[in-house]
Amino acid sequence: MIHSHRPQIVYIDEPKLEFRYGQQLEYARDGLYLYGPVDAEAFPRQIRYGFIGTKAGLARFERWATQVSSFISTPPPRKGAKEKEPHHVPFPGFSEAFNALWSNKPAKVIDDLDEEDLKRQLHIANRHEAIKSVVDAYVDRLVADKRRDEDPPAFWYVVIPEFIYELGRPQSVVPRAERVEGRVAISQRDAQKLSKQPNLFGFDEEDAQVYKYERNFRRQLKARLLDDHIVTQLVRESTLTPGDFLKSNGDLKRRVEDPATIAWKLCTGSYYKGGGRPWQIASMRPGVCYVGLVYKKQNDTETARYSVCAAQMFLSDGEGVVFRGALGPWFHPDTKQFHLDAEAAARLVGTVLDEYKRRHGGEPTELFIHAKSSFNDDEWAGFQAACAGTSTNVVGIQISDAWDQLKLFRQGSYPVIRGTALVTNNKSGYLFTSGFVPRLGTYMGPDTPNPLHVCIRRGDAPLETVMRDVLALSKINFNTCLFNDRSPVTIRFADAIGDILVAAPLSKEPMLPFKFYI
Amino acid sequence: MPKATEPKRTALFISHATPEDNHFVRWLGAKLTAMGYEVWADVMCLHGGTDWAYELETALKTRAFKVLLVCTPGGLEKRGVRNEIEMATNLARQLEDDSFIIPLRLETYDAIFRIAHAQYIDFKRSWAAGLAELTELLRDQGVPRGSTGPLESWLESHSDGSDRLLQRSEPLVSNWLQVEGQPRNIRYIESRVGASLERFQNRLLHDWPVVPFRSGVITFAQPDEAGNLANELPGKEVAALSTAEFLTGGWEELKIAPLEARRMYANLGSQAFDRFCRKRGLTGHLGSGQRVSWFGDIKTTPQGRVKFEWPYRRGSRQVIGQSGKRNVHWHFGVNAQLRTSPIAHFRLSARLVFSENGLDAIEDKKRSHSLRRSFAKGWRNARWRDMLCAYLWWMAEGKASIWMPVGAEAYIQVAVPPMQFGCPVTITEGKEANQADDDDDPDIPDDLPDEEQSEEPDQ
Repeated sequence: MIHSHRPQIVYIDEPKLEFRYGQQLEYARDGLYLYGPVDAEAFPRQIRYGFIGTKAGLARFERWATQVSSFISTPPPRKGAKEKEPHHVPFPGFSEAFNALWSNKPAKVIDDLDEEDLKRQLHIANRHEAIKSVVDAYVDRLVADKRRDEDPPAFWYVVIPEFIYELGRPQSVVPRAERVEGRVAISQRDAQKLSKQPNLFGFDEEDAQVYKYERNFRRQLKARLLDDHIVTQLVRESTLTPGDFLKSNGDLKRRVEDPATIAWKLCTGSYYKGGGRPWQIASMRPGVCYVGLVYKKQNDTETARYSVCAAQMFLSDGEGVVFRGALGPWFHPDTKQFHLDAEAAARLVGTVLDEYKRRHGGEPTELFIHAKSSFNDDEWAGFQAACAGTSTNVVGIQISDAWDQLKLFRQGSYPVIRGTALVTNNKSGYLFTSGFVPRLGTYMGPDTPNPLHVCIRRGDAPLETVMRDVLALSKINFNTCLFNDRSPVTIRFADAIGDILVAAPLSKEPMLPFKFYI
Repeated sequence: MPKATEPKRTALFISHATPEDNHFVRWLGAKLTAMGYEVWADVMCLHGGTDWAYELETALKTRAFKVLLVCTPGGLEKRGVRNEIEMATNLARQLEDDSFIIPLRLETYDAIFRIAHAQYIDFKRSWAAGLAELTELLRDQGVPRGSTGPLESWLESHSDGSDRLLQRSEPLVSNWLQVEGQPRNIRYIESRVGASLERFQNRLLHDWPVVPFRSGVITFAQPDEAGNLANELPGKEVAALSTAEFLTGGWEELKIAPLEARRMYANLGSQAFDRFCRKRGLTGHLGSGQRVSWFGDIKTTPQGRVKFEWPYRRGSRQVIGQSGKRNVHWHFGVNAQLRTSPIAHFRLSARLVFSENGLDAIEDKKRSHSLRRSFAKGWRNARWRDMLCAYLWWMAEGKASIWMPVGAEAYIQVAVPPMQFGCPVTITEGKEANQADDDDDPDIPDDLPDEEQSEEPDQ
């Protein structure tokens, strides 16, 4: 027999969110429907947004914007489904849900993008050039407007035609017969050589720049708007008016979610990007601060070790700030892990503490660093050095995907309940952040739920507190208005942010709220 | 204004058509309650009965300070609403309050006689604008406000159909098979001088699990009387160590660190599982992630339901089957990894393997991936749980453990069914899913966010 402690299951209560009138509920859509956003004031907030897209896109957008200004009911029950599907919540209308002033006409319209021009550019054989030139069309207009306008909109709806979605991604392929000649003559390989030996080939250096931009329309656009502090909300035309896009047999070309769900998602994102705070974690301990650590390899670095480290500071009220750490040899091929050195680690946590102080007038009492990988001694020494002499308790937590490592099956037909955790010792356990949610009456995921592995690697904190925080942080994705995500926002946006940071060369190291990245 | 503000008349009574205007009334009522008004409305009672109807009528008669009348053409036709208007009109007369009834125009309606004179508040153009106007009016009319009243009924009514969490424990079955026993000692066996080390370290030539190490192997097995570890593989035991010590402290004498020791142990365990499956007639299929899933084919495995009946776990499921619609056979397969933490256990990962002929797995990765995605789309808890149990029952031939040979007379012994844990909470569940084999589990929303949406936060 092998003797060891038998793991135990604990259940962590569903964290509540806070809304208007101090009301605390589990589900964001309930809270917004019944009470409104947590930051609501007597005078409704004005949502000022701009529109950029084609003329056809504008017409579609305005139809949608009108649709979301009043009640949208839940979809009719599906064949064979339960009579009541409580995960569906009707959308009461933008102003009704957010106590805000929503206009179905954008405050600013840029609709001079020509569909044929964009199409031709997107068909350029050199994919880097194709995507960069289409992004140029958007960036040029948005930046010009920003510099001209004294009262620019809070954010822009970037409404994209289907072909941009289809051809604007790294894996997109343009059929050979449809490709058009571009302007860039230099190949990617030569461009790399050129960066080491300038003017070796007599090529235009400017042309070579095109390879520094990722072949991903969305990421490149967001990255290139960071310098000018422009916030965007990307949406496909087919999401707004799916009925306009039909197959020859009359079926929808693209299966999208029901109109109320789409309205919840886009409108919550709009409220947040328009400067509002839809909800916050209820009854949070004061003085808590979370940092999500991100590492991304940059495409054009010469050695495999170099990568960008980005960090996101996150507060329980939903406020998040992104820092961009410097490029460095953070990747360790032997362990396949990313780690900062002591100096960079100290600098990073120092910046976080400064920013926290600036906002709250004092140091945080607890600082949790969430990362997908573990922490090494150097890195940890750096974190501790930054907190030396303060009253801040710093804790290093590894949150990794425990896909297939643990399955738990219930007796009945519904999957394991979200919040169930198998505690393996006082420092680690498996937490089901996805699973059956009683409020929804269902499990909103594929297959059977998989847990996250949550492990206190450095420092000290009660495991249940750490897990409760992770559950709570899985509920503040303002871009979806879902009951929860599978990952906490610290880890979830980590990847998204990292992807954008490496999608285009950046001139500065901006320190911006995360709405610029999502 | 009312003649005498009797202290008990403090409530707002919302008269509305059920269920047509419930969404609106919840939206309105929850906010009014949160603002401190006492609100009564039919929608607040989810499971209405005669008592509720009586209570509501009493509330209107004795507690109402104002009546908010939700006006739509259909609603005003309803008998219940008409009755309430009748009562309210009488009350208005008694209280000498001309504005006792406040019509809320939700849709354009033909004013009926009783309320024809009352000035409505417009909610048709915008609920939000209507609410702003209404709250102003309520303030002007001096409607009493207290602290925030009870709000549960709004949420309850709003989230009708939700399940309830119960503080009652229930057992959960895992995918972990607990190791109950294993050989006392682990050994380092060296190849005989002069024999080929390459052959000695080739695990395919061995009868038992081995891990190459220095000039020999680490294994649980021992050389037979003739000095052979396997056929024509002469070996000499150089050292032995207690398995428990090996796993906790490594093997100091051989300079094997604890982490390395556990890796070797896991490796031996995987080999033991693979060999056991092969012997049982299962087929190994190398899937994504370089993991081998062991599945049964139509020759070796029962094609109907496999009944399993351990003392605390009973049921039946197919472990292989055929989909007429897709014209393929499906096979439940399993990969196993031996782990030492937090306790020694085999971790099972279940996979579906597909074949055309019931025997040979479809090698086309893209096709089997898309089959897996579409075919098992509706499978959730019960299905995977029972397939795993049925598979293990069949594998263990109905016994309570599986013995995997790792040497002559040496076994790693694991308990079946998989480990169970007590969970402190459970949920109310309508009915047990006891459905035919190809049916979906009952709880799958059709509108799951697709992958591309979850990758990119914008829509």
